[in-house]
Amino acid sequence: MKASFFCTNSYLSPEPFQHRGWPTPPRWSRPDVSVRSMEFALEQARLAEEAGFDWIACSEHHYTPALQTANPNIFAAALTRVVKRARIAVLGPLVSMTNPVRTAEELAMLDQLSGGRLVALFLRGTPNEFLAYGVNPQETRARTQEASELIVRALTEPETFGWEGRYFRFRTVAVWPRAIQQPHPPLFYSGNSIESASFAARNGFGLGVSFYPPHLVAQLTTHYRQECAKWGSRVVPDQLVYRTFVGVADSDKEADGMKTRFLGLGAIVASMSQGRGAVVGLPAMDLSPAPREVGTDADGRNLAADKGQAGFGFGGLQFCGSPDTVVKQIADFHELTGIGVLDVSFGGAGLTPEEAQRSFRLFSSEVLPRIRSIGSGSSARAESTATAK
Amino acid sequence: MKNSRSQGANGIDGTELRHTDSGSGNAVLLLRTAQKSALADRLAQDFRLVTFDLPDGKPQRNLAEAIGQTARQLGIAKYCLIAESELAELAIAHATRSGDSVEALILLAPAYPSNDNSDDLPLEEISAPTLVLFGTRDQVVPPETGRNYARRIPKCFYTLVYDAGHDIGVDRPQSLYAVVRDFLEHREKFIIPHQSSAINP
Repeated sequence: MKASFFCTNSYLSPEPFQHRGWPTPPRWSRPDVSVRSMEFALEQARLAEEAGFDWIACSEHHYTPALQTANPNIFAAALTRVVKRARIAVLGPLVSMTNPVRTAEELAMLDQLSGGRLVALFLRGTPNEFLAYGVNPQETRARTQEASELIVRALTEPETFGWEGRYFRFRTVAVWPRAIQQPHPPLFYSGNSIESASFAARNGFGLGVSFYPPHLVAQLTTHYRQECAKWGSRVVPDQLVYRTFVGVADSDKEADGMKTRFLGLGAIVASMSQGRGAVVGLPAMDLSPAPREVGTDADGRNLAADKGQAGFGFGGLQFCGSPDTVVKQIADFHELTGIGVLDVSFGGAGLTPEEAQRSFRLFSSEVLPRIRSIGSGSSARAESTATAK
Repeated sequence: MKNSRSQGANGIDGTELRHTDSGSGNAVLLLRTAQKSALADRLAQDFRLVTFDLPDGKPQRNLAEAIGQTARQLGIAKYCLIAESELAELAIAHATRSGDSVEALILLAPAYPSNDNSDDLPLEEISAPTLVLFGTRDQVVPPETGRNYARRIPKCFYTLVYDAGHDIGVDRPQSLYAVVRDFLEHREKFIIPHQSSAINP
């Protein structure tokens, strides 16, 4: 199993987090703190590589101090200068609301800057984020699908071409320079819904799932495998990425305390559902129950389901405990889902910076070396387990 | 077709080429295999449209001359030429033999039933600006075939119509007509957006 370090580039001072609702007005942002935050994030990335992480990841988010990477490709460009071996994972750009040709150009540049180490995942975004660039939420699923196909075409097409789409029209496309990795860098698609998992399989993308509990992840990876089989391809663990939070402490008892206090992205989403974020129908978060069914991929069309138990899957500390416990949890998770790449984050509302740092240290030194072998012998078993359900 | 001005036929070596003349404006000649065509209906609203209905399969190249004869009989000196699928070969033959009569050429998902590729065609000799369209879901001819045209036709505009199969006009009629109309009206300059992007000018 591989590990990816999700570099959130969070604002390092607590003041703006007092603001309830989305967006957080820029008056809360102090340039000196933002500079310090950026330097800290890059240093974290360097340390993560040193600790043995295979990927260093970043993601596009808007108007929030929690994730200050409005353009993940700019942040990834900076990562290429400090991360020398690990893959640079842009997980990912919100392709429903940005210019797909520009995204293709930036991804190709990143592959060049990183010496062919880029990995990218195409995301749709959460409803509040659609407001950042004024995109109609009802169109975002279709826009994401078209944009993803256009980006692939722009990365791979050797001749100048035009694109006459439903949402995008470009009469002259000729991406330069080309990516180092041919035909293109490894590409993933956000598959938090059955439909998206089908789309990923049909288009040859890897699958990215975030925050759901294991049995729902297994439901999605199983469906993805079945769809890939229809198209004649067999899924390997490296095609399956899961983004989650991890809390590691010296003992299970200490970790239990973290689990109780951890609010993670739930707190952020709860905040997003207030202020302007509320007008797009982002469901109010009930942080107590874990999701019990696969959701609707934030399309806002099935709010009844989202308001029930499905939610967006923004869970708690999925893997939490002593190093021994976390290793076992990850092994069981792999057995059930077949996931081959864990994209992990250690911070989160409710935890102290010291606890996050300790989690990172313990994961790096006592968990990461022991999960390496997971998947090497059991992947086939996990695959058959998942497909049999 | 609505408001047909005239219908007729021309023959070369015993092969008959039937046509229908309708609409008004700049002349567009359409080589088609299907009698019913949303593209033809739209074109006839904005252009003078002469349609040539041809059977499926490989057409005889000598019909290339009959196209020119028909145009001359109709008093059309210069025109744009559009060919569907397997009629691309005929259109290319005509375009390369007709001097500067063909002002623009549009090939809709060109296909070649005889040898399944365009290697033998004199694409380098096409002097007219040429729009080559493929649907991204074309199961008959891989859309990547368009690269060959882009490489060999001097003024080629290779364009993909998203989510369309081989019959682009069936799957994405509005998109097809939008790009075809722009090309007919602006030729090479169709790549420049002509609509204002101002929200409140």
